[in-house]
Amino acid sequence: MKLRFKLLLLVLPLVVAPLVTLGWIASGELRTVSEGKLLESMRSSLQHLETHSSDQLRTALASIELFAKHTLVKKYVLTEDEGERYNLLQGPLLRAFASFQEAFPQYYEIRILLPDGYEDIRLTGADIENFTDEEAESPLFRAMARTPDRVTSMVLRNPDNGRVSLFVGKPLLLRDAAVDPVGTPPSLRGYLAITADMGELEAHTREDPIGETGYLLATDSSGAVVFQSDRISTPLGLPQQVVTQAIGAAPHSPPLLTTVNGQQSLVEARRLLPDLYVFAVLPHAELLAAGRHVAVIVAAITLVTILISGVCLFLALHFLVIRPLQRLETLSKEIGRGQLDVRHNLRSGDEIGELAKAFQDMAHNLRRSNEQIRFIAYHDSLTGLPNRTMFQDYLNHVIADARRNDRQFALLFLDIDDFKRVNDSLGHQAGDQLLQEVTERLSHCLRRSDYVARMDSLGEPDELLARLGGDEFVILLPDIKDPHGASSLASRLITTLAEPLSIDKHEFYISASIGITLYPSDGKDAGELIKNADIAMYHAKEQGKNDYQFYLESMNVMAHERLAMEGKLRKAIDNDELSLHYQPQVDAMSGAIVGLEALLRWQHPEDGPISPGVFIPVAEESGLILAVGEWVINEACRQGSAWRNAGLSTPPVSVNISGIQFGKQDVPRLLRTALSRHNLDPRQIEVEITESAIMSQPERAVKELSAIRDLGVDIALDDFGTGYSSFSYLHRFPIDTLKIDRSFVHDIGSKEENTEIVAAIIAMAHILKLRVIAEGIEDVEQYAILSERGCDVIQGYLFSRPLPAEQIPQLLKNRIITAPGREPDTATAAEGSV
Amino acid sequence: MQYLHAISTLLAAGLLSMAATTAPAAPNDASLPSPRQSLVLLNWSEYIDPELVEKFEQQFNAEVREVYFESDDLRDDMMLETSSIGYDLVIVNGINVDNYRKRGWIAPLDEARLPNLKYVDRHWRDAFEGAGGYAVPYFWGTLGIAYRKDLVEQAPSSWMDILQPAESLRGKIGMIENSRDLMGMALKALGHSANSTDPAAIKAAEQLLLAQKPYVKTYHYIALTEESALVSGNIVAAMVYSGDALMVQEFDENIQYLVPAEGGNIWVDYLAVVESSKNKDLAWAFINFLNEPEHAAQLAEYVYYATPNTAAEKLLPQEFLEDPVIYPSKEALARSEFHTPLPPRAAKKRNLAFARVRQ
Repeated sequence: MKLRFKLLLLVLPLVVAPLVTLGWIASGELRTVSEGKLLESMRSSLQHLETHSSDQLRTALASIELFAKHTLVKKYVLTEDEGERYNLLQGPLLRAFASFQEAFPQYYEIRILLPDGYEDIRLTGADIENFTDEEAESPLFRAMARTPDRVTSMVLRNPDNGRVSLFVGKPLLLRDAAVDPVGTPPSLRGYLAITADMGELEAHTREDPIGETGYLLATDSSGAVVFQSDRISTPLGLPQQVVTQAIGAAPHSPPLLTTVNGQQSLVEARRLLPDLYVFAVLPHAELLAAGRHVAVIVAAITLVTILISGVCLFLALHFLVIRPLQRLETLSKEIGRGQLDVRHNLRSGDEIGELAKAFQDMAHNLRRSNEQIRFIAYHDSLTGLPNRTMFQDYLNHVIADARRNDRQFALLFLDIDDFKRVNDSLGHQAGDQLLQEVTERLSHCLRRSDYVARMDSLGEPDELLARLGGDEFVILLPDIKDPHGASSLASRLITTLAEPLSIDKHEFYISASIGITLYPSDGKDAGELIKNADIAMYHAKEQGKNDYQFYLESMNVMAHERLAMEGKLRKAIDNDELSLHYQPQVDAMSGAIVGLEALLRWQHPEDGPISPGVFIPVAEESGLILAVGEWVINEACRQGSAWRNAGLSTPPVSVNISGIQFGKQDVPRLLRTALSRHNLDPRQIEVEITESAIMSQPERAVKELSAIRDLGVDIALDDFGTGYSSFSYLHRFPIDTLKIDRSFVHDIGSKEENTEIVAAIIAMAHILKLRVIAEGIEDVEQYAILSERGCDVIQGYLFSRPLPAEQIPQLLKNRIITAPGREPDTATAAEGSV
Repeated sequence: MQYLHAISTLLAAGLLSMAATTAPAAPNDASLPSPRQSLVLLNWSEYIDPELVEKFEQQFNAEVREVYFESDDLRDDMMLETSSIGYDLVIVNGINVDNYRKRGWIAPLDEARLPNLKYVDRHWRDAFEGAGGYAVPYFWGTLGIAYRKDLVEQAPSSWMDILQPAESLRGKIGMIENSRDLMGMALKALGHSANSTDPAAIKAAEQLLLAQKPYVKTYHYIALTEESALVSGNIVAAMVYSGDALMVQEFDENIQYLVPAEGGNIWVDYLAVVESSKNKDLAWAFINFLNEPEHAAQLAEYVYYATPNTAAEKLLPQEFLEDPVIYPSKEALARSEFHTPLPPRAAKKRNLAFARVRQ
């Protein structure tokens, strides 16, 4: 059951019960009052009639006494001669009567009757015709004749005009002073009679209402109706029994309840005049109806009050409790749905309002926490930029938006060139600072500095800068009109990053490579777009770094090829497709072979020989370089051991250690394991390691290198001159040999300064007691210059290209290699650093 | 007012009569100085020549005072009220002489004291039953219509002309409050005898009078002075006694009198001595004085009525004797009637009818 109904069920009885009780009591009281009023009105009507008629009778009696005393009346009745009476006395007497009538208009008939009943003189209104002069048989006369000693009054219907009237007659007992001797008793000379109109009484009886249906009725003592109310159309007689009972009722007794005219009625009677009674008849039904009417009204009022209270209560509950609760419910549901920035609309200051406010505060706190969590989840802690997760979400959003609106956008994939080197050489802390600085600069190039992506907003997507990890950044340029927009930004970014930057008071120069993909041409989904941008970026790096590249379909092909190659390479190790070729290192003075550099070759069964320049980067990127490097060390040791076992006296074989391998593998342990496995004299193995590999982690490098040296393995610093080339710290590393980078050697004949640099390097190396090897020697002139400058060992096509292991014994037979006018090998460029 | 006046006069007369009673009875000797005796005459106004009265007063060392009545009926009232006491002489219309006699109000003629009775026409003396022995005819005349010929569009010629008046007469009619005259003339207008006892005729007359009532200005008899409503023109036609018309004619020549086509009433007024009078001798002397032929002639000329005194008639000028108002034509007299005594119960009916008209 709903709360509102529960509350109503609780509260309504509290309202209804008193109201019903009150209504019941009021109804009873009011009914008594209403019935009382009805009976009171009945009584008052009767009382009024009674008073009226008794007044009328009293007045009539007084009047007749007054009239009888008039001289003319006396003279008239004492005049026995008719002629005299009529010719002389009637006129004056009639005038006297007329003056009586003027004073008492109700006496419409004033008469003098002679003792024999003859109506001797009569004054009436003009409209009344005399029915008869002989009144001897009239009831009045008979009554008067019966009681000649007093005044007679009676109510009769006047035969002259048919109206019920009050007749009052007084016998005129007179002594004729002129004739009768003194002392003679007065004798009856006639009667004075007045007839009073009872019109007013009749009108009251006819018209006075008794309640709504009650009526008045005047009867004589026999119950014959004299007047009756206009409310009853047919003449109605009262049963004699009722008349007797009603007339006989004691004054102030309750009305008689009896059947009148077939109706249960209350009857009360009053005697108005001698032989005139008035009855008030009130149908009992009306009395009951009056009570019922009151009861119905009270019930209706009670009901309406209950309804109104109910509705008010319902509304009050609704507005004060239910609706706030519903709103609260809605509020919490919204919060539940994650609508955390809800605002409650409860204005009430009560507990529910407080609760709603608490809910709202809770939701707001929750939202803040959510935002923090989301920020953490979606942002990179180092730079504060959106992270990969967020970027991908945002990218999906932007893709959806672009698809809907048929727009194109660009994605820039930026990678800092040689970041690893910075990290290696300066430490992670510096690397972090560098990333922060880069972030700072990239941000400035973009329009916005707020990188909290507004993925949930439905507005125009914004540019977004995100860090995917390491030194990889992505920039999303939504809604570009043409690729130029992307390329100009890329140029700006590159230019910005080219500015020198200072970390820990060191000044650095960095560069970045950028790959650009365009939606929808370069990819339909986030993964594809990012991957292709990455490919383009690599392509840019391959193209010489510090530049940007738009993604091309072909790049993807290359990437695929690279991937295929990776797979092949993985198999290649197992399938023994790799092999080592050896290039002799010749003593510049004696021409004796003093070393063999092991160079990796890959003979694919189907593709044929694959250049190290192609597969080494693949191996490095894929991490296969570790396995390959291990294989190389092992193979070199095995070959060395094989040669020794074959009785050959071979010079040490030098193995290239990749920077990656040096960073990630325990190279000394690898060497030790390989040497011991093949039972090879450590002096038969040398390692070549690049300057950059050492310089990325100088401390570790010193340790590692020392460990290698402790094995008895010599160490050569490869590609010297391309990196830091600082003699100041060269001496700190335990190295034996310095290999001058072939780029110096290449121009040595044509560029004087290169010759001088090489000379200086040689000189310095010698000072540090380091042996110097020059590689990539292709012609005699180069050889001549180097040998003249004191270069210790020469390596290059001038003497020998790298040879398969089986050709080495043949080569070693001569031991000495001269370089008489050998044509330079076209595959020089392919001769990798490994 | 007249009524009040009558009462005050009556009271005065009463006091005087009492004084007369207490005074020693004096013989009717003019030579002897004796206290002034007085007479009270109940009379119509302007119905006696003051000069004659004065002459009598001087001659008899008496004082004659008049109490006026307005109509015969009202005179009856006045007589009834005091049972005739307070009056010494009364002018009675012929029809009531016998009633007054029966009532005992008037004294039988003391012919010894009325030597001039010999001049009075016997015919007029006995014109009404019982009149001969109790009263002396005073004057006779007719009842007719006086009208203003200048103020009516068409001169009335019949009772009907004023009983059912034309527009111009309405509200300007004067009638007499007298049962016999009013009912009688209405009956005549309807073609009945003025003395009819037919209840239907009486009823019809009542209806006629009731219908006329709204147009009647007054039922009070017109004044005979210069202030008369007939003179002022407030009344343009009135039921009047013949001589009275001539009296007011003196103030306006336009007043005309006629005996209507249906005929009028021939009346005779009698002078009687009141039985209760304490100065009957003087009263008889007064009657006798008035019937001296010269006096009677002078009186007739004063009131413009025909005198029953034959000797006086001879003294009157020819002009007077030929005045058709005073002496109507034989035709007019033939159309007219005397009031005759009515059977009592018929009288009663007419009384009631009249009472209803006057209500």
